[in-house]
Amino acid sequence: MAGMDPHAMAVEAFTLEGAAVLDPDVDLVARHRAGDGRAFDEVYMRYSGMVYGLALRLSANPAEAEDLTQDVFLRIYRHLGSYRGGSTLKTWVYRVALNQCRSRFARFRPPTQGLFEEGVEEAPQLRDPGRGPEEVALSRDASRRVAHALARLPLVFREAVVLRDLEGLAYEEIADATGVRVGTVRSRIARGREQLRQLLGGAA
Amino acid sequence: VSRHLDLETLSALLDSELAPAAAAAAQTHLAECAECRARLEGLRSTVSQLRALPAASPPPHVHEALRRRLAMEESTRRRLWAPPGWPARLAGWPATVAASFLALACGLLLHAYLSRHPSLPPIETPLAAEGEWRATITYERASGAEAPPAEEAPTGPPAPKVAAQSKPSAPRREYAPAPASPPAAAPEPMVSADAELKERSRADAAADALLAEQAKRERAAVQTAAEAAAPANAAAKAAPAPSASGPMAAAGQAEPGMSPPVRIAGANPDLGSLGKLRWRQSLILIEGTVGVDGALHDVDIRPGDLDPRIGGLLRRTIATWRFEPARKNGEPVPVRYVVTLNIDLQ
Repeated sequence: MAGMDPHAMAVEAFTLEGAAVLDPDVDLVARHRAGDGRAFDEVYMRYSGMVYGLALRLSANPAEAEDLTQDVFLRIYRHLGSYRGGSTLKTWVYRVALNQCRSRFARFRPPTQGLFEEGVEEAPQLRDPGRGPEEVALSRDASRRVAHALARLPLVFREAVVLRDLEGLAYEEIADATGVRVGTVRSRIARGREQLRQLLGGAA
Repeated sequence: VSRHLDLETLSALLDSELAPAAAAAAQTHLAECAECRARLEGLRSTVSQLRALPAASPPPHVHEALRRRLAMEESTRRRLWAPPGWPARLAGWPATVAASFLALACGLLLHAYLSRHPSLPPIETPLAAEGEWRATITYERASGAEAPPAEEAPTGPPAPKVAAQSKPSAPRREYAPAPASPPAAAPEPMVSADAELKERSRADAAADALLAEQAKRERAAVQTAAEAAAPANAAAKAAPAPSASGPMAAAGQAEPGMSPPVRIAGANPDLGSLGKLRWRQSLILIEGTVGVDGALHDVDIRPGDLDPRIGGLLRRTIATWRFEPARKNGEPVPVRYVVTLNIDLQ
């Protein structure tokens, strides 16, 4: 990905009628700095799902994910004014979130302790009306099994796999968010997936 | 039979993150090696199980709690006379000590207040005209539809088919292309957000004023454009598009060869038609994907607990929208499309 087009992240903004506006990330930050409270609301609305999802998959604990989400956005609120572009606002938010998760896990959990607490993985919200209760139960079971296995991966592998496969980031973005080289990202994703495969008992 | 493929190659192949030459070599090997094919399938199955995990969003009370904490923080900051964006700890420790007492006091007061008024009182008013809301639309390439650009040979052949197929579409997840800049050099595995952010704010202190000034001008320009656009569509079309030489030139983020999706049919939501409403929301986000067929798919309207009348109106309106799809080098491509409605509640 080294030769990735530097403009690959095309984000343009315009009004409903088609008049262009400036870079929405910069616009958002400028509005926040100028004291427009809605700018932060917008940041929350855009990224809270992403941050909560990351925290939930990393911690495997909804209550902890809620706390983490609050802490992350508190930090974002304080530091959003210092965002200068350079990376997209999205990767910047991920970086803040990852750091928050890491420092929390380092403080509250000895590394030897299992990261998954039995029974805390909430029943997933399944919105597929076409499925019967058995199918739903089966799928919930499968989700729990996968979330359980994921929680047993070493943190750096878990981060890489979650960012890639659940959050859908490109390798380059993951490198940016985690502060390591793309080669390292590639290796962590591969090893994380392999460990997960073994935990799940090979191909399903 | 050539050497077996290593784990990293197989995994990167699933993500279309191999250079074309390497991908082609891997495909050649896979074609003749059942063992590697089986390992690839094993990984692929793991990945699809992982991607089947349901997407989650934080419960509404998280936002409420956050608002309270922010309100406390804001009141403390005002007492300290620190400008916004100024980390409280930089105000020096005497101020910090004073701040903790003040924070405690203000916190208690605020808590007492907020527990009686859990959220801002809603405003009961009809939205008289379109001028009372403004929409901003952003779009970005929906990835997953296409293999990312090649490493060594950007003009080379597209990634082999097996790689492209291996990206199952996950409608609830954002698959965005790579970031606009190379990763910042971050030597330690554990980057301290605080240190980094503080570092940034110090280094950019000088640029700050400049940027704020620029932002102000940009904002003015945007508002002008929006205001011109809002009252009538005809006026909007006449509204001058921002020139590339203006301050907005800084926004030159558009992907080369990429043209935005253009709405060719459908009306704007007539929020005024809802009559008197208790408007709690000053911000509504509409997200979807403009497909190559010109329709808006997978529409998600946030917040989820929006007044059903507003939600219904928006959905009905959106259903009428048709687009000339976005194009990359003349080829229609799907893009993620986000409409941000800012409602002016005074």
